Amino acid sequence: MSGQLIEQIVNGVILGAIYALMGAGLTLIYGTMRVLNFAYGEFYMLGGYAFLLLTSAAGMPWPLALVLAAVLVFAFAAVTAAGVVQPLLARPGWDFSTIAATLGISIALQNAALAIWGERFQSVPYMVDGTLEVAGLHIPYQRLLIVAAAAVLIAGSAAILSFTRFGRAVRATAQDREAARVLGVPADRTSILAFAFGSALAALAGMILAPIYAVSPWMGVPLALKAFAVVVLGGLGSFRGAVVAGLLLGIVEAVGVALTSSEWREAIAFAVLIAVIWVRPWGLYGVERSVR
Amino acid sequence: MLEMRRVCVRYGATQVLWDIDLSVGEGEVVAVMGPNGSGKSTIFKAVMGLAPPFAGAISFRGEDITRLPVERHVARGIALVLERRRLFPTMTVRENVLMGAFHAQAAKAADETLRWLQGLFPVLRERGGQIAESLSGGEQQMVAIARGLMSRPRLLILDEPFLGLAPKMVAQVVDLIRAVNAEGIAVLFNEQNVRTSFSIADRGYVIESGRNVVDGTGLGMLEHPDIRRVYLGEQGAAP
Ligand SMILES: Nc1ncnc2c1ncn2[C@@H]1O[C@H](COP(=O)(O)OP(=O)(O)O)[C@@H](O)[C@H]1O
Ligand SMILES: [Mg+2]
Repeated sequence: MSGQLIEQIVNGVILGAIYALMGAGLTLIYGTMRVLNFAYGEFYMLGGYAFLLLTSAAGMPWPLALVLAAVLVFAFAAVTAAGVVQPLLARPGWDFSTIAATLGISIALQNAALAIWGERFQSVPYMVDGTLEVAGLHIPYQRLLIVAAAAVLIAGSAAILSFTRFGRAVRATAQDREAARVLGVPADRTSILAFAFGSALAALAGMILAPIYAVSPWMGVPLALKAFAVVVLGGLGSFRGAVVAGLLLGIVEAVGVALTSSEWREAIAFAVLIAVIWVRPWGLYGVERSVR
Repeated sequence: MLEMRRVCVRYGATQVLWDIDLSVGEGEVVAVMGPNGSGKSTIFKAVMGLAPPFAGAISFRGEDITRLPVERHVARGIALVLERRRLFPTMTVRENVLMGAFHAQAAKAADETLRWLQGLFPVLRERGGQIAESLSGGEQQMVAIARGLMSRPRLLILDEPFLGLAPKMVAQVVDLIRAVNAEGIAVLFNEQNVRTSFSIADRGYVIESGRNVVDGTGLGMLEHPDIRRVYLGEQGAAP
């Protein structure tokens, strides 16, 4: 293998880790609420701004800012879910109204960010400086931090889903909401918390990527699109599927760009999506039957 | 201990239950019978809060539960096993059963309850690690009933527990319901076959088009002309 190819694979893993993290958060929300959350990218954006303000304006050390910003976005998302999304879900004809509502929230948040923070792209300093030089590869430590943080967040989320009471409530609600409620699982509260949890994952992705992509009111749009592709590719509502699909998409995209040129980036990503969905309409880890 | 009085339920604009009266005493086994679409499942859903009545009242052990949210029933001592088992498809048998002890009080006693149920349901020991979906219909029904019992209910409601089961499995589930009842747990269930129903039930209700038609004890009530007409599909008696 040429050195360049290896470098692209490394880049693909970094990209894939972010896609996986974004997809994992979105699939959690879809799984429990059966809502396509079109405001997902804006929680990523809010993470970026919250982190920017806490570090540069408030002068907080970055690890503390990371945690605090995630908590703030979690709380904001919980209020959004409880105040807007859940009440709409309780009404008949909900599937369209939640799409309209989350689109509305998305636009409102973008405009609010524009009004408050302006249209300027703002940069966030690297959390860690320096570059790892190994076997002819040059990898900035910031990028390694992104992969490590994404891996820890994904593994942590998987552990929460597998081993905690909240995680069992989330899985049961996602698999059969009515059966879960009959067993005493507070499905509405579980969905609201899952929505907030997924949104906090997006916010954390926004924070660890901020030093590379800069912060702006529209920063969430392309990432949210990718997250949707990842969720569909992995199988709607499948956590494992989102993680695998995210990594796969990141690597295919990076290698594909290296073999062609960067204008082909989106075309390659969506060609993969369409090819997989053609063969497996239910996605990599979805189940071959309609969702109950 | 369960009292339904003049319960009316509608789905959207369509009313499906009209003034339903039904009761279950402590430790009793009660069957609900009636043709497809007559409202049997809806009666159970009304009890559990899944289809709250717009008129009438439901009480359990002296407390009004007419508008109690679904999630809070299990803590009061009511467990419902939904039609078609409704196991969590990608969880293992063991995980499914443990979901039945989600409620805080039940969670504390989960280990002990599980040991008790493993005695009653060998499938829990033999297939505990298997994914629920990989089990046969009969085995899934056993797991669904075990999951319902994990909350240590005083009333177990079973919606179509024999549906789609081979005769041998039907006999096993019948034995199981008897064993559960022998522990003092009241059972309310529905089943199309009247003879199967009365092989376990102390009393039965016949429902037609969302209304009570007749109720009584034992196969004797089958001699009632309304039953022969409505339920057994016999012509002759005046409609
Ligand atoms: N979720 C629902 N929405 C609208 N109508 C329903 C719903 N569930 C049941 N029904 C209707 O209510 C009536 C009673 O149904 P059900 O209680 O399921 O009957 P059974 O269990 O006796 O077969 C039927 O006419 C059925 O079509
Ligand atoms: Mg039914």
